[in-house]
Amino acid sequence: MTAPLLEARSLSKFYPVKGAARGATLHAVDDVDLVIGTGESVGLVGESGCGKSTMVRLLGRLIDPTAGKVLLGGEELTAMSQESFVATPGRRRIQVVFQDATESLNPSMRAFQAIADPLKRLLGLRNGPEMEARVRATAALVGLPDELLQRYPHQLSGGQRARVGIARAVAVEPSLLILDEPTSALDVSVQAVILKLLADLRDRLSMSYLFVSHDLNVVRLLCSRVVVMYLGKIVEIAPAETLFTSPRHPYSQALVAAIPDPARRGEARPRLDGSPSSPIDPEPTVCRFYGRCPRSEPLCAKAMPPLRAVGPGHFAACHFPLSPAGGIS
Amino acid sequence: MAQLEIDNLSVEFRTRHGVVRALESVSFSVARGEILGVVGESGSGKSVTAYTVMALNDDAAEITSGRITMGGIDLLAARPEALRELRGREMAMIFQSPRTALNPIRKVGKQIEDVLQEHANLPSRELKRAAIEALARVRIPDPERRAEAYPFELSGGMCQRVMIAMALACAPSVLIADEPTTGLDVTTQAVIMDLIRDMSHTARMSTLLITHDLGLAGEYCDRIAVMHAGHIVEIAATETLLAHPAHPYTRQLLAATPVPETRLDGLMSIPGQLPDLRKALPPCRFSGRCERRQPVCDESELPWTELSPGHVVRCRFPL
Repeated sequence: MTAPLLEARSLSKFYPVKGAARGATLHAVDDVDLVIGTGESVGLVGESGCGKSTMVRLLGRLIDPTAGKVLLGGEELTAMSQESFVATPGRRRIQVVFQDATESLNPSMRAFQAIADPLKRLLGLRNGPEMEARVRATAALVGLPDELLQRYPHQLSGGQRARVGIARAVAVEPSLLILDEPTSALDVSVQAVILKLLADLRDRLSMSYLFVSHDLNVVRLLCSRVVVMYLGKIVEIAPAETLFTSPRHPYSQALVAAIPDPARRGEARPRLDGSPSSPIDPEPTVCRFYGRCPRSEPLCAKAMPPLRAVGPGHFAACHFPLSPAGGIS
Repeated sequence: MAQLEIDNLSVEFRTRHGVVRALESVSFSVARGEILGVVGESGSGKSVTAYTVMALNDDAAEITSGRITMGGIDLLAARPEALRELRGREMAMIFQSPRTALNPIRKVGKQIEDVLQEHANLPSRELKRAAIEALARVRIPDPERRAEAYPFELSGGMCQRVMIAMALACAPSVLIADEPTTGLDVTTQAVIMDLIRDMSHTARMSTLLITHDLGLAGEYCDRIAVMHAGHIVEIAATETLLAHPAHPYTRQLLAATPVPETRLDGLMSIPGQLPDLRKALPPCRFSGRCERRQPVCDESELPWTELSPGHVVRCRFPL
């Protein structure tokens, strides 16, 4: 891996649960360590409720962690509160592209203003020729024709809105771009263009990506490394190809096996029934996947498995990792 | 024999901004025990087709031509009471968002009992047991307890299973599933789709699966119909459609859908946009986006070509 750009150290986010027993807390993200290298694209996958979105907010510095640190280029970002962070030059270095541009763009701002807004707030640019040039250059970068800049979001197509959302984020030249399901609201015909645009921008602007998606086929296209989360914990980290061909955690195996694949029509595959156990005050000494896991040995209920190396750049948090596909365990 | 047959169906919507010709000459059939996938992008007419079959379109919709028959019964000529009797017992529908389709203030077990009471000849003392059995059939763990839950107490995947349990409670002969797994996790999607497939094949139920996901249709459907701008452009057995797409749109749709083998350079986008269905349209509604377009495409009526038994395409210059 290249030099680390972003580091999460023992990062946790707990939420108090209203109406439940006194002191009950929901462990959205629980003691997570993660490193994203300079220029690297990391995919983050898992079921709804696994903590993906909380990770996006924590790493994007949109919320404060309960415990742990976030470092960017060695500098600790969590030393100050999120409110003070907004006013620092660091804010522009991490940008988030949100899920559905239809929902996340201000409906009363024209595309031009939407792209100019972060330049005003984060770089202190004023309206004028410089702003004009900067907005047009960014629009050109994301392939948004000039004549669309005076339109409101509802006058743009889904793909054009996605481009505005991306333009807003890259206008301030961040070093880390967090993409939260950037194409899930788009038709496949448009998704392909946006994915290629993202790959192209990454190379041209040398950004790092954290790509969050439920579509594993899409993650595979853009990311060199994939992180799998389950109930607030990272259960596996692996080079992308390895994760898809030889997952070692039983949960990752079920996740990969669930991808619809016409080539494997009618083939019996491992299925994951039931739903995850409760994220509210989970037992610290029981594997989170215990009970749903086909293996579920007595040890799994006694000790939380830590992330351990199972291959080059490959880590799994399981007492009984699966044997590598085609290899000897 | 076809259980559900749609013949030359055209549907228009009268809106303030003009007449939208949402479906034009749509024809297909679904055999007993078969899963037919209807795929296409948003705006292609997939859901309008499903809603028209179930007679659930709103007042702005007008069926301008065509026939829909189920088990030999002409649905468009049927009286509303007869139709209501068929819906629920003989034909059932699963909607895209289970949470909005379920009654939020009624226990899910009771909601299934309501369906059974309306459509099944069961004495009332057996309704509860039958509802719990219906929940057990869709492999809901602990069905006695779950029957007492309100929709908000269940996860999205669980709500979708309740919807399926409700749809299948009276063992319908036709199931219409409109994006049944959109918004669910892939792991849940796999379980739900396995369930629909097993029910179709073991209970000889005819299933119309509406989806935007060609990969999903490719894994679960016996045959696939591809829609574009209110037209069906190609129908074929799944293996044939995936291996030998004949319509340029089908081929582009396949090239735009990421599958495990896809690399970014191999991923293609589809140029152009759906035509405006309120304007005058050429016979082939894809011609504006098509790389094989010839002047004749915009001039004379578009023929259906049968390339091999069961493989039909609506294109003058198929691949």
